[in-house]
Amino acid sequence: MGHKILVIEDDATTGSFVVRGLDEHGFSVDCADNGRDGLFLATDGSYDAIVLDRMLPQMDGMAVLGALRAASIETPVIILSALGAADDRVDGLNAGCDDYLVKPFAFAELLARLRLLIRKSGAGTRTVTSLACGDLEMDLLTRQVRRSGRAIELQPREFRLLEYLLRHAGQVVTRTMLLEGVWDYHFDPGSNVIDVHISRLRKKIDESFPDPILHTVRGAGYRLGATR
Amino acid sequence: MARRLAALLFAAIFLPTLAMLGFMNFASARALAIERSSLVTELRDELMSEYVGDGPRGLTSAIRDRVRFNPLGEEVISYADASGKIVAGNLPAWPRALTPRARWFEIAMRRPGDRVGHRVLLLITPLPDGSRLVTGYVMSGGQQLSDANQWAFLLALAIAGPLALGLVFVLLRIIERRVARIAGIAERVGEGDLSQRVEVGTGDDAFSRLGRGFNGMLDKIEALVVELRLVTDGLAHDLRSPITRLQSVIERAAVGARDAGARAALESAQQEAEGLQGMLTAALQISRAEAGIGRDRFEAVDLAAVLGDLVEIYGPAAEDSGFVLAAETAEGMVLPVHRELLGQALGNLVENALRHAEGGSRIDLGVTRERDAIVISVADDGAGIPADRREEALRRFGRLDHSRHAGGHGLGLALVEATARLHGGRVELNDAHPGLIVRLILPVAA
Repeated sequence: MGHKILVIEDDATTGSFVVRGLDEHGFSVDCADNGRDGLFLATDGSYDAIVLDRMLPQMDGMAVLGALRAASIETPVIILSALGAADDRVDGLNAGCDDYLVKPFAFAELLARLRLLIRKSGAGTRTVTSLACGDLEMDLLTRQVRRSGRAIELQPREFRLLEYLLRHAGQVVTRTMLLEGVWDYHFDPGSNVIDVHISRLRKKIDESFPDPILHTVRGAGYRLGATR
Repeated sequence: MARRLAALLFAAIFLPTLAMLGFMNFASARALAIERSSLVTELRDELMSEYVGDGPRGLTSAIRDRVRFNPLGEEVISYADASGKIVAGNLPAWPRALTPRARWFEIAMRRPGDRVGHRVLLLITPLPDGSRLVTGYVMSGGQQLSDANQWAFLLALAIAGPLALGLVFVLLRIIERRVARIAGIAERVGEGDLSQRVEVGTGDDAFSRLGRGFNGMLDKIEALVVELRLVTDGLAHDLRSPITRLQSVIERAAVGARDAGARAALESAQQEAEGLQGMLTAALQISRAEAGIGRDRFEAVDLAAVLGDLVEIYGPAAEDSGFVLAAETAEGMVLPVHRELLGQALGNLVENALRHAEGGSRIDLGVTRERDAIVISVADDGAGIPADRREEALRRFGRLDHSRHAGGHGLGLALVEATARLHGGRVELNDAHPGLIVRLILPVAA
């Protein structure tokens, strides 16, 4: 069954683009084109995630977020904003949103982050000592990585990269998500910087095995998964 | 400056005092002189009354009576007959300097029996029978008085001098403290904290007026900055929404495209849109950093760790381009910075080096302490930038490589400079012999 998403966006083109895209990927989507209506819909709490534009008529996006959190509605919220700099991002995260995406964004980026949010809110927080995906295993305590029982030597940065991918196994992870997740920077690190990291990692975990586990998703990013 | 002001203040206080004391000294000397001449005139009038009453003979005996008992007294008298022969008095000879006509004289002389010479004020009075009478008064007594006057003058100076100095010190302290307060606020505003205001009293003195004027100016500047932020944010919103739509249209078209040529065209259109987005983001970041927005995000960051991150992030890409990327760091390089922006600025420098350091093989990151600043450097051993073109390189959209084959939007170094300024520092481009070294000089707050 598809997840329920609420999109609060005043720009008709962006709104319909997001709604149509999510619809195509199997979500059921409601849409509001101003803050007040959006808040009204959101307060019933039945949504799995909310996509919230920051600049809205009648009621600002941050005010909507504040009102939701004040009413203890903890639906994950991803803010869309044209206010690009990292500072606004911090503001948004402090105000209680779960992720922050700057316009213009690729739909694939929004989709990847949205799926992550929905899964995160379902999974809860538990500490794990090992991660696995297919025949790839990672022991977080001994910091050892094995595939099909064979030990793989990784550099610390490669280990962290793989750990992030494993924690989001089966999901599309974008380049900026990787930079955020592994190094905690939010800028665009130039065209191929992340690609080079992935290709090195791929060499170690995929090259001498029959089935590739680290996939490139065209126009979006990467996905770690046992099945294609 | 303070020394000049101090000298000026000292002069303003001390010179009037000096003038007043000088005038008093002059006035008392003058009063003394008048008193003396009136003594002389009195003596003359007394003797003249003898002359009028009893003729030359009476005068002669009166003079003899007068000087008999005290020939060396303060009174000086001499009486000469028409032929010039001295008839009576306590002057042994007619003083040489005296011409018959002049009336008042002041001369130095020594009477027989005088132990020291005296200055004497003399009055010559011609009498009707052709004889002449000299009356005078020794000024030595007056001299003592005028010496005492001078002593008093010097003493007054000795008191007034230090007093004036002390007053200057106090005044300077008051002025300096009030000016320093305003200057301190101006400095903080210069660093971008526009919320600062001068404390203004209710007074109507120049300092209060300066403070009020200053605050009015700051209100205006703050309003303009807020407006600027609104405009840039509005611009970002207005420009980004169309770009988002453009991207979404391209994305959807690419999904539907079956033809390989169309797909390639759409992909390059997508790349252009992404480039546009990057340029817009960078331009906005620069504007905001230059407006001082983001200082509230400063946190203490170990710069060595940031360089380590950069080596990790860019290392593999550098290696693929044939460069060795390394960082040389020291411990304790902790500074409150905007980590995000600084990371991006340094990333820009590394990318610039990768893109432009033709023929180079090394990119060295470093962080060192230099007196009261921490200096982060990014050096390559490539072709470098000639000294006369470095300024141009820092300019927004300033690209030295006009063929554009090397890519980039020309905002990388401008963002680096804006970042440095946000931290109160500056950027230097230097020759690395060979290659280019970019130095980010960030002052360490005292």
